[in-house]
Amino acid sequence: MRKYSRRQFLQYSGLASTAMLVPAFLKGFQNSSGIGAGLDKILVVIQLSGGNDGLNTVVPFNNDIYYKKRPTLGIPQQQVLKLNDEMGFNPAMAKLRDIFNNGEMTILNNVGYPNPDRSHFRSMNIWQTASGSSETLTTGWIGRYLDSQCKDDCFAHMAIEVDDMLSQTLKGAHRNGIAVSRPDLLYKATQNPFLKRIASAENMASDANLDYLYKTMVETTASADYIYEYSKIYTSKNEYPTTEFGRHMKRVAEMIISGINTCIYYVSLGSFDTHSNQPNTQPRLLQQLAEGLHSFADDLKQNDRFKDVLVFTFSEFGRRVSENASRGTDHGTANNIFLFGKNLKHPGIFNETPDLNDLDEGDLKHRLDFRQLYATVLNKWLGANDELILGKKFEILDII
Amino acid sequence: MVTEKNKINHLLWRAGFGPSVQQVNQLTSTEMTLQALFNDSKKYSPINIIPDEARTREDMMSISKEERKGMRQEARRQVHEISNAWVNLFFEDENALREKMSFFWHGHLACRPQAGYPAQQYANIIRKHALGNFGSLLIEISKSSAMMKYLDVMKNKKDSPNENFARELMELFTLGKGNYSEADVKNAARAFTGWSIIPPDQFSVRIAQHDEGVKEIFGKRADFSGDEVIQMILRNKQTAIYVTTRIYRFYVNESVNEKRVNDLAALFYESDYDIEKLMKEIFYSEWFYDEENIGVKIKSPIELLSGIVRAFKISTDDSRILQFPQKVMGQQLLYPPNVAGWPGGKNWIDGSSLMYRLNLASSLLWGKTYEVSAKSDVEEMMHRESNNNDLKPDADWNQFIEMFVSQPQDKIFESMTSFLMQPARLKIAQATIDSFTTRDTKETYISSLARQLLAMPEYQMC
Repeated sequence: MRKYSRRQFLQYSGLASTAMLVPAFLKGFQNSSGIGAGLDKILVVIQLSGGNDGLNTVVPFNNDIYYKKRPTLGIPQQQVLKLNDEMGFNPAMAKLRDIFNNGEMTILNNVGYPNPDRSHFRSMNIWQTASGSSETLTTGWIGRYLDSQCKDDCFAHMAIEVDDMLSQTLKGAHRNGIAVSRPDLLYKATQNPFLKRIASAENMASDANLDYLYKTMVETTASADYIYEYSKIYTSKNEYPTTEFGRHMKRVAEMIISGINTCIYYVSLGSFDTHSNQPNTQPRLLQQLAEGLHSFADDLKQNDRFKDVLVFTFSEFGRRVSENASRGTDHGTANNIFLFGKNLKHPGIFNETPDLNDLDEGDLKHRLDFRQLYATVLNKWLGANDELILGKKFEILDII
Repeated sequence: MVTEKNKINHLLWRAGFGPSVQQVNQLTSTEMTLQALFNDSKKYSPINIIPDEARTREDMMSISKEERKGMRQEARRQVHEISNAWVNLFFEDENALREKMSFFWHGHLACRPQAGYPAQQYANIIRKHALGNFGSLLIEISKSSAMMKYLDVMKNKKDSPNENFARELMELFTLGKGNYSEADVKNAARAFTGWSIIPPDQFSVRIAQHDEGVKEIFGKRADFSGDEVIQMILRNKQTAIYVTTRIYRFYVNESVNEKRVNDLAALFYESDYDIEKLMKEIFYSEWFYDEENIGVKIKSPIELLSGIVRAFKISTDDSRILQFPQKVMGQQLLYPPNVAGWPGGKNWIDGSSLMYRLNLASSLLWGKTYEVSAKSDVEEMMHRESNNNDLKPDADWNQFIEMFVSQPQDKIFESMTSFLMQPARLKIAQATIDSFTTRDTKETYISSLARQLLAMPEYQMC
């Protein structure tokens, strides 16, 4: 096991901030852990919280049933941003159509899981832990990825959630990602002189709980220093939307471009829970998503880093096909998923459009299991053992 | 060496929510502490915030969506109110043992009630039976409207069985994974068909929805009813072993001594699941006070919060003091993450939750906030909540200082660590900690030392 003192660590990250080079220490670090080798395989996961209405995101504008079931919410054909003869974007997503037309986006339709649960918490739990609907897991799928990749020499900033609280997704049995919404605030919190002093205590050999707390404290302090140092290297001059999501995507782009040693980023946008007056909420959020992603992609392209990044979006469920009586939609099941990047095998629309004739109690039936997507990303993009992390084998999709 | 004081505090932390100043002054032996704990928990009085009249809910179909939305929000507000009322009971000396046991059962028979009355009823069933009979507790909870709604029992009908309840009953509440078959779950689900609630909250079995066919469960064939399935499960010794193991992990040590647990489980089974008897066996044993069991558990967020509130008599009149920390640290009473409850242990800890936890006491006592915002709650459609607010800390420092101020200066460190810290040894030397304190007067020393001790990882342990 490789050991670095905090002082060494700071020296190196200090070096990095002036020389703007990947310090030798970090190169060694990458090789020894095998994670994110060269960091040309970065994953960004975007969680659309609350259950995004997939049918009004990618609209089946040639389908009569769609307009019959959505007399007030159905988006008129002439307003839809057409992607092909059948499907088109919600008009709020103009910025994403550019990316789509560039061949940098794949749309997966009908993604879900068997026996879908319509509770936000439970379904989100299922997506975050990658469990089946009748089992409960306590670790997240990215957390288990970290577990599988890291022995003793990993830092928490291998996976960063842009937030103040860490989602279940990034919690493993032995390893966790780190939640950072603002590097300066986390840095400030770890700069308490007393905490700094006790964080330099030498020990942490055992697996005992108290040692684990000290170890986590030391790692958090180190990661906070590291992220803060790197956060000063590159400040994006690009224009991002002034929304929270826009700010978060900007932060992710800055971290990627500054060369920080992080292979997974996790960002959330919400709430898409549109039980009433959906037209007041959903387009606004979709516009935030589209504009945020567009600025993000632009920023990376200007710095020649877009090729190193894969982005995907998900939501805990889609919504009911029929609209309800208050211009909204209720909790549903299968949904679409977007992937973005330069390395897509099938840019465009990957699979068949939702079959509105064949519903399960008013909800779409899933055709792809979301764990197939996870398995594909883990295996094909991150080069990890998907079967070990997901607990069983899922058919890999030919998309990356 | 484990001193008598260590033992008393260990007992107060595990059997309750940590020592109060009053307890430290009054309780001079473990024997005396045990008597106080068991005697003070004899009485049970229900939480009674939502009046019975409020049970009758209007017909949801006949009202507008807007009204329904309003009702949902009101329902959630009521659940919060019950949650606050319940947590406030954790801060009392009286009934500590019963409330801690209820806290355990809430995690074991985990449920997220959707409205005020079912939440109150659920909490009260647990609190009533907390030290009573496990069989009665299990049956009443299974038939409560909160649990029945949570685990889709009402959707379980003869022609379209729903296995949710039958599965969790075996996997999480009683037998544990690996001690039943998929066929047992399937057939048990058939036995529970027809279980329903007559509004507002009366349990009943709708004969028309009950599957009267023969079911094979645990190798026996008959037309079993739901009650008979629960009885069969209780007759299986594995239930006693599984539940005792969960209790041992929660109360004694995450790493299980199998021989000890088997002995305890045998006693639990032979007593027909007398919970109080089992807990007496544990707390009156010698091994419970072994050094390997003291100060080795990571406090759950509610234990951490309760410990601080109790030691410093912090006023919780403003309920934001209760709700926000629970949310950020990941344990909200009546809002478990799923039916498996809170996983506990190291699972509480990640970089951000740990930084918040280390700063919690400081923000409750000195108002120094470590600025964070909580994730927005989808079901509440709320915007991000931030703790950057105007909460005025309100603690009783006098009683805390009085406890130590009469001692000679060189004894204060030791008695304060013995009161605040559970691990036998601190990882940081006294001289180092002292160098961060102010020593103008005893009073300033006491409060500045408290501040450093409460910020140490050792304070996170119990």
